[in-house]
Amino acid sequence: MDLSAFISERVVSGQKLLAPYLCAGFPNPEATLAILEALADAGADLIELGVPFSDPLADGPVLQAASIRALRAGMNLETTLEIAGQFQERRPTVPLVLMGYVNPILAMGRERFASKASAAGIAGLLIPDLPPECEGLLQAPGLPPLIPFAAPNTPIPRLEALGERGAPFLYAVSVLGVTGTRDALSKNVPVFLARAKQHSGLPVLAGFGVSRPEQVPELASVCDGVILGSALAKALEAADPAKLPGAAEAFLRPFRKALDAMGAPCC
Amino acid sequence: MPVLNALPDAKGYFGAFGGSFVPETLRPALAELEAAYAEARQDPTFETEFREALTTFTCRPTPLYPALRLSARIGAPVLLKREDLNHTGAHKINNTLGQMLLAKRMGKTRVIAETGAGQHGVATAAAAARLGLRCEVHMGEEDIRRQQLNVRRMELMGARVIPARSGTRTLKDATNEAIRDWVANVEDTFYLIGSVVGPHPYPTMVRDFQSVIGREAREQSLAVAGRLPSLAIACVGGGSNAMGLFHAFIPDERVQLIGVEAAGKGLDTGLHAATLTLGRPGVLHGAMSYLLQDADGQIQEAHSISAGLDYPGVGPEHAFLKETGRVRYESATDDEALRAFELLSELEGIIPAFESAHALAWLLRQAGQLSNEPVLLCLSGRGDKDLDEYLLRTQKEPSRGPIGLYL
Ligand SMILES: Cc1ncc(COP(=O)(O)O)c(C=O)c1O
Repeated sequence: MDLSAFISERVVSGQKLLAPYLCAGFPNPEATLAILEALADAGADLIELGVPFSDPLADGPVLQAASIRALRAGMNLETTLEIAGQFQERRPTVPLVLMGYVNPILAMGRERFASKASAAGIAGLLIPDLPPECEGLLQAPGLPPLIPFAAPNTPIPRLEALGERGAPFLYAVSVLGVTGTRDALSKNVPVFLARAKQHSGLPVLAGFGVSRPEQVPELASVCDGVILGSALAKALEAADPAKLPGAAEAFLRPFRKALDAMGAPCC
Repeated sequence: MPVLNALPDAKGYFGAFGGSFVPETLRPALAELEAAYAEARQDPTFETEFREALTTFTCRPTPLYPALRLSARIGAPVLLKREDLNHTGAHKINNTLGQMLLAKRMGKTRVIAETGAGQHGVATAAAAARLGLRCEVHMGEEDIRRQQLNVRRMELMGARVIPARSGTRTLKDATNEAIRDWVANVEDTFYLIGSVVGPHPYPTMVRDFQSVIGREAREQSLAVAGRLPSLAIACVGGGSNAMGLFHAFIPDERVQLIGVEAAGKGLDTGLHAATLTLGRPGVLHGAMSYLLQDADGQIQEAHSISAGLDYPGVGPEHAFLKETGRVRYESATDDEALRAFELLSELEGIIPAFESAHALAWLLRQAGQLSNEPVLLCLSGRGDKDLDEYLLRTQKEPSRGPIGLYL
């Protein structure tokens, strides 16, 4: 799927994007496909599928624990891509973005990874420890587009440069810090999101720290959608292991509602 | 052969190794650090401050000691570079003084560090106290338990020790936690890395601050022995004492350079820290280098009797020097290091750090096989810190179980 076209279509029509993050294999590998489907059915526009890693240094305690648990259960990049392929067959209209650290990808080999990822229908890649300058390390035929990150301390010329390279969207790391839910987001977040959008010229999705549907309107009003990671993992952790898809759906629906209630901006 | 000691390139690469693989949040901080370091290097006042700290706070130049009884055992004159005589007991202080002066110059108010055995933590706490900066040290919960004395030393010097509770709760995880801390507090915090690892410019900067070891040793060798050594040997954890020793000798092609890694219980047991010997290239903690990793690219737990060598990565410049063949990387087991620890104590009245004992152990293996030419060995630290562990290990059964399995 052409992720750029998919996203810009929604951005143009004023529809805000909802992008949950799920670590493959968490809480258990058997449930991953069903949880992905439940997220799609609950209104996810796109889903970030996480590849577990032993040393996730951009993640807070919740997603670290999810990663370790998935690894203990035997999850790896190979199986994650298999699940991605199965999901794409079942829900071809919901793109998957693969999110993971660079070392497991390097271990698979860049040619093999690029061809497997494109065969699985992966629409984009989010790799927190691979700056755009180092993209060459992964270049191979079929490699899905890499999605850049920006943080509150990213200078304006850098935002402009990221925009000029072109990408389906910009992942805005809303806070200085690692992933994890935060009770209150700083007042500076909307200012940063607006700056990121203005200077990159890219669609902007806001991640890191979003945990409650009430936080959504303030953020989404100045960007193009939100990413939910740790909050979903917490909900799955607390859920009855026999009812994980239901729990995922129940978690996501209020966010969808909050986004839809914002309506299309007036033209 | 390229001019090996002119590296890294502008982007921080030593050949294919190094670079800056960090989350976007750290980019501005690394750019700021790189600029500040480049500026400080040009400034004679910084040079003066650093030199003054090296002479008055730690005791540089450290002596080059002709170890006569050890020489008789080896069959070649052995010159020990006495980094164990540094204040706080190891070479680590050379680097912490340099970085701490830089942190102060940059106007940072808080300094964080990672530590394994606590040697780098203690050196950082001491340098922070001297310059009046707030200091917090990330240390694995498992290491805190094993190294109580160093925890108390750090606290006495005003540092706060933060337990790292993730993963294996050892050095690798303390490093992860330090990076996470830095990401969250990047505006006022300076991350003081303890070895030639991490993203650019750390491997270069730490090497530069440690290169005083090799510069002194080279001059002293010319003065004492009238010539350069035929061999220069150092242990390799992250690789800072080894890079510090090797750097000055890299253009001297006749000086053979040997880095000694920890072979733990044995290279074929899976319980070792021989990253360059048995690892594969990959990315961890901001740099491309050799790593201990499984087939899926997950980082594996290292194992060594010496906490300072117990790390599944290694500095990128060592990866490069291995590939170019300029340095040969060897290894020594826990048992060999223990024997070397005892032997140096008996023969010379010097108790070496377990880390340094690995370098000695390799040299002891060459006894009787070397030509009668001077051999230089970096005695990176003193072994007082290792006495408890030594006593534990030399009883019939260690009372401690195996270190918590990774995953
Ligand atoms: C005495 C001593 N030697 C060596 C090392 C290993 O570090 P590096 O390889 O960076 O010199 C340590 C680390 O704690 C140490 O304390």
